[in-house]
Amino acid sequence: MSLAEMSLPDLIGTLVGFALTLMVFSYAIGDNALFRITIHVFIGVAAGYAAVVAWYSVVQPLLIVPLVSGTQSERLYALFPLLLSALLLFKASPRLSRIGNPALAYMVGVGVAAIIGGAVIGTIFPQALASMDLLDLDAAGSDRPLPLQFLQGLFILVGTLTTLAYFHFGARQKPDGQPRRPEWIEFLAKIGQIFIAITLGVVFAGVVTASLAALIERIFFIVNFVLPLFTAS
Amino acid sequence: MAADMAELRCPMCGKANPEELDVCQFCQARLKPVLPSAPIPEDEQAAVEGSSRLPEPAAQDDSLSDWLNFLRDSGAESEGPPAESGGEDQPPPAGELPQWLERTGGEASEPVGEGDSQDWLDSLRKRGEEITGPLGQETVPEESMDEDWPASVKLPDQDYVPEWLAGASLGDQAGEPLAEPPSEEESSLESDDEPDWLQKIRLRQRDETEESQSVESAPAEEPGMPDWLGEPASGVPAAPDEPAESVSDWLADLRSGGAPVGEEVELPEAPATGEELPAAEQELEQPLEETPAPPPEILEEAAAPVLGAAEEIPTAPQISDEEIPDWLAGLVAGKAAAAAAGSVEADAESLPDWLADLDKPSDADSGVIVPFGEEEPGLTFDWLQEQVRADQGLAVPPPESSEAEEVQAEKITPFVGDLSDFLEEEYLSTPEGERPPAAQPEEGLTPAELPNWLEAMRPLDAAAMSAAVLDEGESQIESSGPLAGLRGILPAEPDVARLKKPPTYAMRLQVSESQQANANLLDELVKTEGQPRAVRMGAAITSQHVWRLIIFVVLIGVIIWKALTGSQEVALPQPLPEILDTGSVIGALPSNSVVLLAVDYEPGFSGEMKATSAAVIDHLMLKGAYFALVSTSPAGVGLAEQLIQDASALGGHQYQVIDRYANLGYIPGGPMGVVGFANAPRKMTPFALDVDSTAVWSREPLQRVTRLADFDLVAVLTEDADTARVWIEQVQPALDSTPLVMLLSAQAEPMVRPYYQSSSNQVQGMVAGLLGGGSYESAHQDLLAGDGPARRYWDAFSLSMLAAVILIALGGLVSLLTQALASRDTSEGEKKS
Repeated sequence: MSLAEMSLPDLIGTLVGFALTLMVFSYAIGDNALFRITIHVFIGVAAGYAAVVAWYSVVQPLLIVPLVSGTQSERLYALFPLLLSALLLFKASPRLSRIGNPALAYMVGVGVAAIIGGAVIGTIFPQALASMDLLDLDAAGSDRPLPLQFLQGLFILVGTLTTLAYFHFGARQKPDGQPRRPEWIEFLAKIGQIFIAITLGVVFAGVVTASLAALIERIFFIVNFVLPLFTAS
Repeated sequence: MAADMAELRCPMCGKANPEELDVCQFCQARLKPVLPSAPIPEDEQAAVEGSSRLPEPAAQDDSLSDWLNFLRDSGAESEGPPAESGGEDQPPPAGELPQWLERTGGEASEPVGEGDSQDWLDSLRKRGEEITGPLGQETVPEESMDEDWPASVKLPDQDYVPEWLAGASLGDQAGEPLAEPPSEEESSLESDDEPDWLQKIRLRQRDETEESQSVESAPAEEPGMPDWLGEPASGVPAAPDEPAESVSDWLADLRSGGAPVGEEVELPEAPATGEELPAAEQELEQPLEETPAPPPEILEEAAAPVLGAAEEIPTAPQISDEEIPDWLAGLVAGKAAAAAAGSVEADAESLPDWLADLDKPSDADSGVIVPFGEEEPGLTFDWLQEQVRADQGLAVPPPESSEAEEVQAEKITPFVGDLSDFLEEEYLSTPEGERPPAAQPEEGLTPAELPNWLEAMRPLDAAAMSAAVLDEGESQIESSGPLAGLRGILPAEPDVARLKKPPTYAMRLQVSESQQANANLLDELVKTEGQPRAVRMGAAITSQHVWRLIIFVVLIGVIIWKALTGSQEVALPQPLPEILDTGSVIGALPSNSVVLLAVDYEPGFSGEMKATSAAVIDHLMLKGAYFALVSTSPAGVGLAEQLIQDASALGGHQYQVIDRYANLGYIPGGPMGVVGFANAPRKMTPFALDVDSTAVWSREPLQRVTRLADFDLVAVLTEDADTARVWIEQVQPALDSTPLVMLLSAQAEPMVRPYYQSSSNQVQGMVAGLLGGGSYESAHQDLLAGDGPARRYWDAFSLSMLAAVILIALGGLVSLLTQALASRDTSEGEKKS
């Protein structure tokens, strides 16, 4: 879409985006004021937008509306979050922060429970079972040969075990006074270091890829913004 | 005076005791000397025998004490008032030996050679000039003499008795109080009848008596028993009667006018002033023709030096040959007779102390403390001892210290050793050729310190040598306390404390150089800690800036080039398994399916996520899916809205809010919100995020959705692996058979793949990054008309990725080379060093 076809809000937005993009690119020559301005603008806009969204998405529909125009049951349900919200407000005062401890404790407790439960049920158990099934040739698919699948499973199993061994920090004090792990754990940990290094390398590659993609998208944006200006003329 | 007359002063402690007592009531010391003839009480006998005095001399020493015994017996026999002075002064007939000389018997019968007589006369002259010690005004009682030189000798007779004579009162000394020295008037009355030398003695003793009374340390002032008269308590053999009888004649003559031997007599006063001394000396030098000469044996005994004591030997008064009195000349003859009898001979030069000390100033005059037992310093043989040593060429004892110089010149050891005198006399009597050689100290051996009694047993030569190195401390005389006057007392204070200046320790802390250096270093560190340091400004342009620009230019250049050219020469990647699975899942959706689309990525990743998800959303739009948009981040609400608009515009689908999609808004609480949405989605997002806040849950197609499993597909768009995991962990268990598809950024793909690739099959499809989007577009060429964002970005992405790989490889290579060079330089430097 060319600039002429854009509406005014879109045009302003495009121009602002173009400027901010260039200001962010100025970081290539070093930290400077333009880059800092862009960062500050981004943070401010994000915070403001988040506050607006939180009001319109949470406070108003879940707290205000039920209390104002909801049924009696809805109001009762709204009183509990209203009370906890009020207690949380006391956290702003150092002298009265203790009053908000119950609400904070409730939030922390529920959050921990959700995380731990999800981790156990959603990750540990399924992944542990999946690791056990790596060497189950019956459970393996038919898209690849069995030996290959077996080797693949064995490789994954070795990588999993060695990676777990690397994070085993139980050590005993040797006669020379230095705490050391058992020798066999040390050997497995060395292999696990290789798998971890490969994993971190892949993660880094993904980060680079994502960054390149973002850069490409921005460059294309600039080019698509500037080029029509020249071509239009 | 009168009180003193009725009291006995203890020679040990100096305290007054009644005259009736034999033993001091304070210190249990003997007050009255025990005479050899008198029976010694049993209780005292043990003390006498157990004392550490000189051992009993040998049998040949019996002759030594014969005269003494004679004196004692004479003193015991004679009674009555002291002999008149005239009687004492009656000289023997001319040409005859005095009776006391005659009575010395064989001991004193040995003729004395002319040379010997001249020697002792010479020494007598010499010492006449150096006499300082007075004649003690109090003699030692017999009982106290047995133990030590006591303070006084109590003679019953009040008449004047010379000091030397008073000391000879050994008979029945019953602890009679010491007689007061006669007053000057009395002495003057008697002076007409007495010989001059006696008068001098009396005067001197009188003066000493007066001064000693003011001194508390009585034992120090008490006259000591002359050696030839007194005997130590222990080891005193029983003197034979014959020599004592021979000696006491002259004493008896002297006492015919005064008190007998053993009786209390008044001691003559010492000369009070110096004017009397010259007169006394003059009288002394006058020929004493009419005075009875002391027996030669007495002189021999008096001449025997006190061995074992490094004491200053006072010199005898200088007397010229012409002034030698007749009795002295007779003494020489008597000595020769005594020597011929085989008795212990004394050196011909030996003179009695009373002769040597005639002109010596008294202790009272000099104000010094006379050691105990040395009240008659003039009667000591120290000066003789010194003279003997000098004549024999032996080492002379070193002069006394400053503290010892305060003591009188003559220092008589408490152990007036007959044995020592005997040894010395024997040594001196032997010819020089037959005398044993002097014991030379062996090399490497330190001379031992011997006790006094053992030292006295040493031969003269050895004693002379040892006296030179004798401990000075033994010569010190106690000046106060109950042991005043005694010699050889262990000092209360250590010698070092008394004699030496205490060491002065520096107040400065002794710090070594290394410690000082460390302290200085620490000080500098502390000082610099509070001082602000100037920040060194680095260069404006460094190599890091240059390399950054180079990398940026390269990447930007490639991308701009491809963007400008718009080339699409690089082929899209082949479809990956997860891409095909995603396509299958979406293809299996029914028409008018309801898809839950969770947009949980940050705005910065919108470009990539758009490129990744554009084909998938277009595919869902082609399937006619109704989108329910949710987000667990506040910014995701807007991004979701933008995503649908862009995809709709790109694919030409005309998706309108509420009709084709509903933006349910923001889900607060993170994981807790996802759990709540998974359990009660209507309560978590009751309204659509539109202008009217439409209750979409009551409208089609969301009306039939009551729980999460009622959705036909759940697709999660996120760039964060944790967010993806939360959705997987919290939502997937509630989905039942509803498929879950992940549309991820390239950086989150490694963490989410296990959920897809494992047998758990928690994720049924996954599209990750630009590669996934390009692969999905490659698999579905009809989507987005084959010109999706992935296609457009793929060439630039490929070329920039290639450039990035090349740059990374070059950087790694340069880093390895740099490290290798650095390590080689380090190793070379170590080798050189």
